[in-house]
Amino acid sequence: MSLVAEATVGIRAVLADAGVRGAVHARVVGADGPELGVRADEPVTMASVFKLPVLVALVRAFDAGDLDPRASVTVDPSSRTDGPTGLSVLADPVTMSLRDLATSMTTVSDNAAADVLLDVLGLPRVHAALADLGIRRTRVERADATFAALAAELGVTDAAAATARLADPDDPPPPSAYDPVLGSATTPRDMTTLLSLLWRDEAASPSSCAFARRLLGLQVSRARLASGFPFDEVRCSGKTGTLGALRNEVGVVEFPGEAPVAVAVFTLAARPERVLPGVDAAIGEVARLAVTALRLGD
Amino acid sequence: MLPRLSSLLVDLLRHVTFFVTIAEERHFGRAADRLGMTQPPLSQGLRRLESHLGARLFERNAREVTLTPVGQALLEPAEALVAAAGALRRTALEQVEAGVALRLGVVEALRPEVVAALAAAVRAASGRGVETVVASTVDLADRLGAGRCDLAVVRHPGVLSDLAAGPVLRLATRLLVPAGRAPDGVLRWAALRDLPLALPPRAHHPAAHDQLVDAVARRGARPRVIAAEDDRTVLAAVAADRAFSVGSPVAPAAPGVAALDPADPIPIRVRVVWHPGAPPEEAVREAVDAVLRAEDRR
Repeated sequence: MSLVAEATVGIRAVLADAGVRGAVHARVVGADGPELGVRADEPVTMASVFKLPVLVALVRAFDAGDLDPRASVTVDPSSRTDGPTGLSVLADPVTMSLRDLATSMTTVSDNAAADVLLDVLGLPRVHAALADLGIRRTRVERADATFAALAAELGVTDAAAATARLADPDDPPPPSAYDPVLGSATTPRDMTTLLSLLWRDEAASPSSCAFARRLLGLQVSRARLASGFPFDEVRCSGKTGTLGALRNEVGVVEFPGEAPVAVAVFTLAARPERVLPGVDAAIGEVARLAVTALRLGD
Repeated sequence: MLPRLSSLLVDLLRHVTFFVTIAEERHFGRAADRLGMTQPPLSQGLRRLESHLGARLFERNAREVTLTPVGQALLEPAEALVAAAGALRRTALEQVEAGVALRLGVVEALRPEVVAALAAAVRAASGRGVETVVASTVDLADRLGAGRCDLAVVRHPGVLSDLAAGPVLRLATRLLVPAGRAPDGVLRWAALRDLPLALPPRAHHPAAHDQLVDAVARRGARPRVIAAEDDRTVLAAVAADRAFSVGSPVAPAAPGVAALDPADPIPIRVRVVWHPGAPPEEAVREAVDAVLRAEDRR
C-alpha cells in the first residue's frame, strides 16, 4: 500500500475511534502538489472557519484601495454579535482599526469583529473574491445569521438556548441542525485550495498574504491541528470552527526547509458535550497522519 | 428414431405426475380434470413416458384403466419423485420467505429478556420472520448503511452518518462492585479507587464508551478501563475483586457481587436506528418503542 493509501486508512480509523464523522483534505502547497482526502468534496458546515475567507477578502480590499486598513470602527456592546471571545465579551464600546479587527477575528475567533468586517466588506465582495480565486463551493454568512438559522431549526429563540439544546445528552438535535445549508458552508478541498493560494502569495498581494499568514500563525487555539505537531521548530497556522458537536480546523503546517502542507479537517461528534479533548486531539492526529504521508512522499 | 425422439421430448417430472394421477383416479377424464388439462395431451404425455421407460404402464379398455405389473412396480418410486418435487418447491419458498425476514440488530447492553421481547414484538407487528443479531454499535451502523439490517437498537451517542434515528432512551443500570468493598450495600467511590473498571471493548461503541467513562470520572473516580467481552466475564472479574462495572442489571444476586443502585445512576443510552431509504413499517417501530419505553429510566 502506498503511504497516502495507508494514511487514508489510518485517518478513517482515527475518526471512527474518536466517535466523529469527518471530512478531510490535505495538499502540499504548490501548483500540483500531492494530496489526500477522506470525503474531501463533501459539503461541510464551516462554523468560525468562515473567518478565513473573510480575512482573504478583506486584505484584497486593502490591496485594491477599496478599504483603508487603518480606518477605525466603533463596536458598541448594544449592537454587536454575541460570542465567547474578543470584542463580543467586552463591557464598553471599543474603537479599532480594520486591520486590528482582523487580528481579533483571526487570533481569538472574535464573532463581533468578524460581523463588523463583513458589514464593511459586504457579502457580495467576499463571494466575488472567492469566485475570482476559483473557490466555487464556499458560501459565507454572517455569524449572527448562522446562529439565527440554527435557533430557528431547533425551535429556540437565541444563540445561548441553541447551544444548550445542542448539548442535551438525552435529546440529540435533528441531523438538519448541522445542515451545511443553514450557515457558512465549504468543502475540505476548497479550504486547502484557499490556504495554498495564500501561502503562494496568489490570494492577494505578497505583503497582504504575509499579513494574513501572520495572523493565522498567531491563533491562540493550539488543541487541534497544532496538537499533532509538538515540535518547536514546526510552525502551525490555522483557523478553528466550533458549533455544538462541530469541531473544525483548517491550517498550514510548515517543517523547516520543506514545502508547507495545507490541511482541512471538519468533524461532527456523536457526543454532544462541549468539552471533548479527545476529538480535538484526533484532529491533530488526522493532520499528523496526512502531513507525514505527504512530506515523506511515495 | 421414434423412441429416441420421444425420450428427448419427455418432461419426466410432469409426465410422472400424469402417471401418478391416472393411477389414483383410474380414469383419464378425471385425471385430466384434476390436472386442469384436456385428455389428448394427458394421453400423449403418458405415451411419451411409456416410450421413455420402454414399458406400458396401464392396460386400457373401453370401461377402465388398470396398472400393468410394470406400472405397479413403478408407482411407488413415481410417487416418491412427485413428493420430493413438492418438498423442493416448499423449501425454496421457505428460503425466499426467510430472505424477507426482518433483520433486527441489538447491542449487548440490552438484557436478554428485552432482546426476546423485541423479537416477539417485531414478529407480531410485522407478520414476518425475525432474524436477530447481537453486535456492536459500530458494526450495526455499518450493516444498516449497507442494507444488511433493517432496524437496530444501538448505543447512544454513536456515529450514525446518514441513518435515521428515534428518540434516546436511558436504560436502568447498576454499579457492580466486589461485595467486600460494599459490606453495608452502600456505594463509596473511595473504596473503588484502586480498582479497574470492566466494560465491553471500547471499539464496540467508542463515543458511548468514552461518555460512560467520563461519567464515572465526574463522580470522582478515574479508573483504568479493562475490556470484558461479555456479562459473564464482567461478573467473574467483579466477584474476584479484580474490577467494578457499570451495566444493565443482570444477575444482581451473583455471589461476591454487590449490585448497587447509586443515587445518581450512570445512564446507558440507546436508540432505534434505520436506513432512511428503507424505513421499517410504523407498526414495527411503535412495537419496538413500546418495549424499550418499558426499560426507560429517564
